[in-house]
Amino acid sequence: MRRSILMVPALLVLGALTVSCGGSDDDASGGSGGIARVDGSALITVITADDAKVLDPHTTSDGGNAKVIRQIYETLIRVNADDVALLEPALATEWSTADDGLSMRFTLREGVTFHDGAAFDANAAKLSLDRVRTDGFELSAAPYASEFAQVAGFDADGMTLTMRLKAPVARVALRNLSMFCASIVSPRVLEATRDLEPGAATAYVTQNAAGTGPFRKDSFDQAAKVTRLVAFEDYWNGAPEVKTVIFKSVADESTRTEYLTKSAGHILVDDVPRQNWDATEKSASMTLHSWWALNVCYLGVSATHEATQEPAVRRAIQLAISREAIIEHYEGTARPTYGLVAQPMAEYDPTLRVEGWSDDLAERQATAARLIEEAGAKGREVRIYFPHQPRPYLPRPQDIADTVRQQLKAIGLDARIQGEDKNVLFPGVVTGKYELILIGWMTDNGDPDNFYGPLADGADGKPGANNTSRTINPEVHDRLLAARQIDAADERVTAYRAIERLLQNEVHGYVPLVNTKQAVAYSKTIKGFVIDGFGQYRFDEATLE
Amino acid sequence: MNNFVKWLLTFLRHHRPAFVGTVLVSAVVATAVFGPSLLAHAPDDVFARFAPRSPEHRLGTDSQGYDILARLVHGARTTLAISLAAMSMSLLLGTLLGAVAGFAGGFADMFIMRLVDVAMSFPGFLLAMVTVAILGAELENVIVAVGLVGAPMFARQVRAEVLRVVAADYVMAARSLGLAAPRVLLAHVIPNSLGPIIVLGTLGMGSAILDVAGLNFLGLGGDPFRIPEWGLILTQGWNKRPDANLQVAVAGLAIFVTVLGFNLLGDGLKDELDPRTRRR
Repeated sequence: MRRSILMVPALLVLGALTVSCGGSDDDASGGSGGIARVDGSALITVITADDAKVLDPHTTSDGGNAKVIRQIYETLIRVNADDVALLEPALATEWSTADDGLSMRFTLREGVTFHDGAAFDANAAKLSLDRVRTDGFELSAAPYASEFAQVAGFDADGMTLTMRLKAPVARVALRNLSMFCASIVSPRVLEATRDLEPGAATAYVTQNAAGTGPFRKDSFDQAAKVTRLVAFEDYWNGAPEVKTVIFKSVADESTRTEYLTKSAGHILVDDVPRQNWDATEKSASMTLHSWWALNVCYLGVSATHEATQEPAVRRAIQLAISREAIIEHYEGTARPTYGLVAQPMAEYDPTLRVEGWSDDLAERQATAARLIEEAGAKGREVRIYFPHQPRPYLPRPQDIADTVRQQLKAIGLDARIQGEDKNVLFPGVVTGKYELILIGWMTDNGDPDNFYGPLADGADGKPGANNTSRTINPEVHDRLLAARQIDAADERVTAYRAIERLLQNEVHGYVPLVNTKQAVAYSKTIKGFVIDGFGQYRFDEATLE
Repeated sequence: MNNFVKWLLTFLRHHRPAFVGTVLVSAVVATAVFGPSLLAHAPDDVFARFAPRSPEHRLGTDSQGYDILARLVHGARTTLAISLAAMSMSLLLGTLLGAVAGFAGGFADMFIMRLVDVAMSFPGFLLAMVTVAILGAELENVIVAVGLVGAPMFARQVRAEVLRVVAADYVMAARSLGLAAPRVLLAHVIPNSLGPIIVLGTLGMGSAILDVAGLNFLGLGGDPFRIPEWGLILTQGWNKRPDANLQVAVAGLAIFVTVLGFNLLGDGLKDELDPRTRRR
């Protein structure tokens, strides 16, 4: 029975154990032979929260994978790093839209080769873009296939690629080509996957990752969560000066924090824990770069779940939430938001408030409590689902869920919170079992359609996999179709703001909560690298001191 | 009764560690029983977040604006209740299995004891974690898991005790009088095996509290805000701001003191009730 006494200090240091578990990651990478022989002067280590598991751009939507995929592969066009409203050439040097708006022609860059030696041409581009749309390929997952549903097909002719569209939606279609999922993979690799099972094909592409990007895959150690990339000497824009980039995942927040104070080497820490921002800003060795991310954190409210099926109940929930209480959990790095589209974007309507709004929380909650009472929902049990793992838009999921619960309790609902693993929670949205879910969205392409399409619409009359309201409003659906065809900026703003109003006052399917800042800390010795508005890095022109 | 009080006083006077244990356990039990009615705030009243210590909030407030003292005191109640429930489950299940095994012998004995051996070959806490993972991360399942994991220890001890008692003359007498087996078991065997069970139960409280708090600390207890429990209070204050460390410290201290109390008391009782180590 002595065991019990021994376990007392054991519990007290349980937390310390968690920390040291994270620390052992460190040893794993330091001890691996591959890293020892690297020339330390031209090496950047990127510390990330999420690890990379899949390097097949067409089959993943995970942010941890995207960061590495962006180094290895390139897209035809890309979003300007300083202004997400602008597009710039990448593998395509110029493009034009036909007069009827139903086709687009891309002139491709000459003299580009893949890491495996294959030459880049229109056929190579077509192969990858067909694969994203699952045209001629069977994939283990195709999270972005629906984004390309309006594309009729691609035609390749030498160095010219033509994209045929089913409707004049050139604006959205062009934007989609800048997303990491539209990365061009070496045709040699893709041809080799044709005879493989979908799962094996993804593994093959990951194993033999070959793109046209400035860095090529050297080693990929899933157990140690370390990906090692080396400079591609034949890169079309000249060989990068940085010779090695290592992506290393450190899930534990306090261990990740330790890297902020390590002065040795050239380090970049992705997703800096919010309580460390102030200290990092004052640091002599690290620079903190923060920006308002193109994201939204929101409370999804199901219109079909029996606990929230009455519009009055959903409206009461919209009124009950105090965003001011929620942003307190973000250590000053978030602001209240009142629309689904990311607040930094022009389509965000700063004046919009849901019907019956009052700036006085008590008054608003009184209105909400009356709505609940009238709907006969007083004391009803509702569950707020949330992911266990912190997300960039949701740093302390459990605490924030509890704050939302406090507010729903104040209007007479018996609210409970229920955490789930993100890999179980997010795929579960499609089943419609969550009445309330604390979730967020970050755009991959900077177009408003990339919010309203996935989050409030669907295809063939069925709500999409990310539509947490589990309903499609026919008028919203029609307006979204029409909005995709608008090119003029001011008309587009008007159209999307009208859609937002409809969604909030007719559907009541979500409560926008906050827009957050995102931050990256990097050694002051790293110069000239680029962080775009989506938090993706470009090291091709970086230099080290 | 008078005899018991006399025995108890003598015991405590001669056994200092047990005396300290009794004082600690009594203090925690008193807090659990009377504490909540003396508090100014309910554990789910919401105030400003991270409020410092003040006459209003003796230990400040946590990241959600809950009064830490209120949650800690209510936590005494839930922690003791949950651990008691888990320990009782271990005790009942273990006693039943052990008694049946020892009394019936033969195949039943072998079957039950091999099962116990298998269960005890796993680290207890790990087995509890797996059980909760299978049942689902809820406080109710933590009780079940800790209760199940604790049972084999009781089974083994009770079986040994029953084997000793069964050979005693009074049991032989009862049997030869033709009493039915369950009657012999319940009326003669188990009551005479109670001493070690009481010791094991007291020590079991200590490990149950630790296991429950540990599982909750690891996030297997489900919603940490619904019911205040020490392990949950500890995990909830963990890794927050530096000024939230007080919350972690007091919750950890509460667990420490309570487990220490039960263990000291249990060890004392063991010394007292075990014929081999009894004071002469």
